[in-house]
Amino acid sequence: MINRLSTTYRSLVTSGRLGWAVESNWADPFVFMIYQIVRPLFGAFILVVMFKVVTGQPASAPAFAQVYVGNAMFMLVVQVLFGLGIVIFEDRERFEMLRYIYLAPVGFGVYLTGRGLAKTIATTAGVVFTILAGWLIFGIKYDLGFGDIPYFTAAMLLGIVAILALGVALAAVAMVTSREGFGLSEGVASVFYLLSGAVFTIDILPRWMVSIGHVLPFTYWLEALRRSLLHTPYIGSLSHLSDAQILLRLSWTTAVTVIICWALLSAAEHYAVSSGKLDQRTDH
Amino acid sequence: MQWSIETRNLRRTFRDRPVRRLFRRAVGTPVPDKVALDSVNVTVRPGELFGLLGPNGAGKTTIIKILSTLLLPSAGEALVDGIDVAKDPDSVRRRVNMVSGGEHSGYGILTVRETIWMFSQFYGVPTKVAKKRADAMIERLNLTESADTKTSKLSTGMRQKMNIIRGFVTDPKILFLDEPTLGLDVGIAREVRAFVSEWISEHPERTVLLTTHYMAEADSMCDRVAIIDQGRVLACDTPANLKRDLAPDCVYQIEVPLWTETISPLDQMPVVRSVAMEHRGDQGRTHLRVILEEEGGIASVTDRLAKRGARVLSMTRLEPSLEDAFLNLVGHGLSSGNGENGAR
Repeated sequence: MINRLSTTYRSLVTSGRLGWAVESNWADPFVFMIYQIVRPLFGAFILVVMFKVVTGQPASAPAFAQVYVGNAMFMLVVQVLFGLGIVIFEDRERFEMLRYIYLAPVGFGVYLTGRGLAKTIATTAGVVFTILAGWLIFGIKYDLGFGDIPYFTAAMLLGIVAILALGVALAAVAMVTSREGFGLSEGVASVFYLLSGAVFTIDILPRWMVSIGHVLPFTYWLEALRRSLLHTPYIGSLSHLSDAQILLRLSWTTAVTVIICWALLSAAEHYAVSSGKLDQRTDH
Repeated sequence: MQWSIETRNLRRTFRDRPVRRLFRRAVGTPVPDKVALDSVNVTVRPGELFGLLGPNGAGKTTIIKILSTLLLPSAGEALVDGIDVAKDPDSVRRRVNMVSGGEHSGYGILTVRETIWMFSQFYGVPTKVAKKRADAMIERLNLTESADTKTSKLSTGMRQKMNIIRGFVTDPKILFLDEPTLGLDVGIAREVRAFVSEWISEHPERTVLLTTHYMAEADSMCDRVAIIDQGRVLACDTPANLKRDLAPDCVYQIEVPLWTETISPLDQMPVVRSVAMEHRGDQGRTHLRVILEEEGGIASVTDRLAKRGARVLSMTRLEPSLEDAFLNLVGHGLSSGNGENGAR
């Protein structure tokens, strides 16, 4: 048992290192870091302009801080979902290594989780700089006290678990689809962007969409992060919930997401080995 | 006795895409399932280097994919180390590894050493053991100078050597080698073969299943060979026994001027069991490899050639080879690669 756990841990770290190597291979480390910071920062600038044009309010308005934090944090969702979708196509058709990875006894889910962790770490740098830029450039007043750190950390970790689970599930779908299917990850991320209130509160959406938003872990994740950083609720329909209740809802929606995603991975693996899609080539 | 590998009535079919299948059925032109393997029964003993010999599309790779858990069988059973690949693939994966040839696999950003180390970690090999094994194999395959080179900078041969080490470094109980020397030049192919033979002699309890369409490779390396064509195993025995099944004085190589017709000049001769034509356009000649039903049939063969205007330029009686055994069983030669690639 200990031996198996050790192998799983080492495989997780190894696939994470591989992910980092593949992610950052196109530039030297300095240029890569600049890219990781500059890209989200410019995204934030665009958001400021959009906010001003749409609402007519300045960046110092309280609503802007909520929009800014949600948008910055949601980068993790977009990058990890998109990154893990690409992993399958790259491993299968560019590097031609997917079948060897799949054959390894460590388990495909562990490998994908490791690759997702690398993407998470790479993106986190951009998220941190964007959050800092909100304070330094746009004058957002964060209120993260020492006592808020456990709450913030717990919410952050649960959110990352949900993101990784969903990323693994989308990678599983990519396993049985052609290369053209890589847009799926982007599409799914966009749906979550809308339904979890990353920018606009979900209360403005039709009722059925709000209902969907209320079972998504990202809705509670973003709400928890906003509350710990800004100390004010954002989504009106969740305002009656205490911080602890938000965290509790985040926990169970994450647990359900993990179960569903793992089941999807198993089903996709079974379909892939039934139909011989593990080493298919679709880059014709 | 527990076999290392055992297949029982193994069958694998491939279906057209569901939408296309429905459409074809609707317009009245249904396409039958493509049969890749049909009732394949093979047994491999522990410690054996077993070969699957057959032309492209014969079903060799499909067998390896099923045995290595990359593909499920449509029917029948496949057991690896006594474990059913369909029922307990995780246990199978802990015992096997695979190397394929003729591809450009590898993470270009990683060095040779990093790639090998990475896979050793995925298989739970302790770091010190993995490093020691990898170093020994890198040296044995003359990759030392390229060990810290990124995979993207490697030649095809170097990359295949790295993949060979990736397969062996995990010290698998059963190793699947799918055309491991495909596309390699003579020297590197020889190095790879020598490495495999040496490994199995040093690890007599390990089993290797090798697929190839190089006759001489199968002949020189394998303890036993199964000849496979169109998804069926036609014969399975030692190379010596397969050759022995052919009577002496029945195999001839006849050289005639370039024969441009698609039908052999010896077509429909009862005395001829099978014939393979090899055109050598640059020399303006065609080589006919003829297997006769009986020893005395050669006179009627030369008569027929004379009547068809194919003047005999030279004629040589040959000792039966594995290629002849294959020709005898399959009825045609391999599309390529009869002994080239430096197998002899």
